[in-house]
Amino acid sequence: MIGRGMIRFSHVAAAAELLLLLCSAQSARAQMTTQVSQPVLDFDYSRGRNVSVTERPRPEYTSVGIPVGGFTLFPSLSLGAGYTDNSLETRLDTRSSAYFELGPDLRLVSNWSRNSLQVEANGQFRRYTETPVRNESAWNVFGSGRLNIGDDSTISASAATGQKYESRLSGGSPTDLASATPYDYSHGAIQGDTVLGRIKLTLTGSYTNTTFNSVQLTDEVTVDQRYRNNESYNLVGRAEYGLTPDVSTYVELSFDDSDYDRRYAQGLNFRNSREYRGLVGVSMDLTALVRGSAAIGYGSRRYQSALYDKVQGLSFEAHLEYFPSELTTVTFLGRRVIADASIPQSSGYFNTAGGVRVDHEFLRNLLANVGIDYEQDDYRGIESRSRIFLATGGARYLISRTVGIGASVAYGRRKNTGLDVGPSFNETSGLLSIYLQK
Amino acid sequence: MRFISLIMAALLATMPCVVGAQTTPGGPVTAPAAPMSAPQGGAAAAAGGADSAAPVLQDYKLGIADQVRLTVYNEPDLSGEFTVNASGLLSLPLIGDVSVLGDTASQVVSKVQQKLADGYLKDPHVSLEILTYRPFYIMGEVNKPGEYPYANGLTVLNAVAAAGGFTYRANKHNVFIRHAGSDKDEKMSIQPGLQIAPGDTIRIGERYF
Repeated sequence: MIGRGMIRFSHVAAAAELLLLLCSAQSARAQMTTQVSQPVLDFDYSRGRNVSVTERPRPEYTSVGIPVGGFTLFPSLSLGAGYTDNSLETRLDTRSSAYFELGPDLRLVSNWSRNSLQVEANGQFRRYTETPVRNESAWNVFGSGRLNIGDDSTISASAATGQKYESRLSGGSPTDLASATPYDYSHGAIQGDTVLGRIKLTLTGSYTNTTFNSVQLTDEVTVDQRYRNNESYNLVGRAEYGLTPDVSTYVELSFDDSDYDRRYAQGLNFRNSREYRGLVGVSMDLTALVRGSAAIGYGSRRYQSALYDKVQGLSFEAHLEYFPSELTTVTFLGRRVIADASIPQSSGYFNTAGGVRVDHEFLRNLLANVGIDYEQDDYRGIESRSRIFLATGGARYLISRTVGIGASVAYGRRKNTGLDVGPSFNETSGLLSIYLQK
Repeated sequence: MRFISLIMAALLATMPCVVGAQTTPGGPVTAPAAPMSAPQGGAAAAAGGADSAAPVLQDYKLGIADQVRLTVYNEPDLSGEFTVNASGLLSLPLIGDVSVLGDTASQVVSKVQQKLADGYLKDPHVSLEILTYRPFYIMGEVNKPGEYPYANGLTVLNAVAAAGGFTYRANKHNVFIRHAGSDKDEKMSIQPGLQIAPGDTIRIGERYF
């Protein structure tokens, strides 16, 4: 399955709410990254033995949509009201603020027995009562299709464009930033996979273009961020061998070519790079208790500029689900990947993250979750380490097929040791929302 | 020859009626009373796991929708299969409606014998056999809630199995049973040998953790 490319975090509470929204539609995948880019190949380890709390179908509360020929249209709207004790996400001069959110969504999905096509357009608009400089207007248009070739092969393609906001928990933002950090992106990917007996082969190629808009600092100075504009080409290949129906091993090789706009680089201060990564992993769906995928390997990113040292070392990805009962799912995530730094003194950093999330079904229409994510960014070329901690909790009550309500709270903290890279701050926020769907 | 064969066949057909027949008032002929049969399980569709040597329901009281076979010795016109109607009555030939709701099988036999002896038969001998019990009802956290036929010796776990098994949200430790005619649920611990009775309404509760 092709991932959706970039995941958006604009705010600690939005991160928690996004967890809830993702929960309702797809498998629970605690978002612990603060990166703009995500790995393109999703985990696919389910063999149909277990059903997680968030995956479980709830036909009494699922929208039926509006039939449109061979498609079904799913319109929805979310309305939210929240509060944060640190709307500017700074260490000094914290300002609390209430905010309101509006999230329209329109999704068109095919009803075909073979092949599929899906188009979606959505937006998320946030307005702060006390700090309008942090207002956000994000939008996204996404399309994907799958072509079945015989019984064992598929070709999938996806494309997306829109405007998102970078999370302040990321180290990419200036320390004294006042406004949100918007960026425009375009993403396209094509994936082919085929099954040959016990072997499954997957190859994915993708292109991502990211353009950063100017931002405003606390002293009202505008900063040009076009030096962060980036184009990347990514190629990932995976070969998986089924040892048993429940366990398989795989090898994954990936290549990433990242180019920055040299017009905005100062001298050799550009981060064009190439990264190679190899992973060896296992995918399993064992008994009724646990399933998941884990891989370990090595990654190396080399920069064209003589200013920047290569970043290389251990790399891993893990996603495990534990089912203590049918009403509870515990999800463990782990990752270590290389990312580009946004300060001149450093080439890149290792983003090492881990998280755990518990989803529980109190009633068929009352779901709750708590989660903790921890991330550590170790920079190359400078003595600097950033630690990000995110604790979230939320609940969702499905009233009917068309109406539901949700609540979430979140606490986020970012702390630097050594040279400051990005802001240090902590924030507590909460959000109440209602969603309407057809 | 053919005429003689027909005469012989007619004589043979009338012989049981002459030897042991109970006649209408004026000349009854008695015969040793047939033993009353104990209630037996009828349709066993829901008793997939019920043991054929399972204990018989003792002192079972008839209820609406129970189906019985009533046999009056030497009176085939008065014998047959009957169902307890919604008023709790058995509509029997010759003697009319007999109230049986809440009566045991032996009590019903006594009532019928008494009514038959009251101006119709001399020393009637009656036997009663329960063919089909009232169904039981199961609802709550089972995959196929509904009405199912009762079989002798049915346990709660048998009933849940007949209803498609527990759902993923079922509380498998306790069950709520409401007996026919009662207005209260009884909470019981689910044990392997916990039996249910015909007409029971079983409710499997929901768990939250």
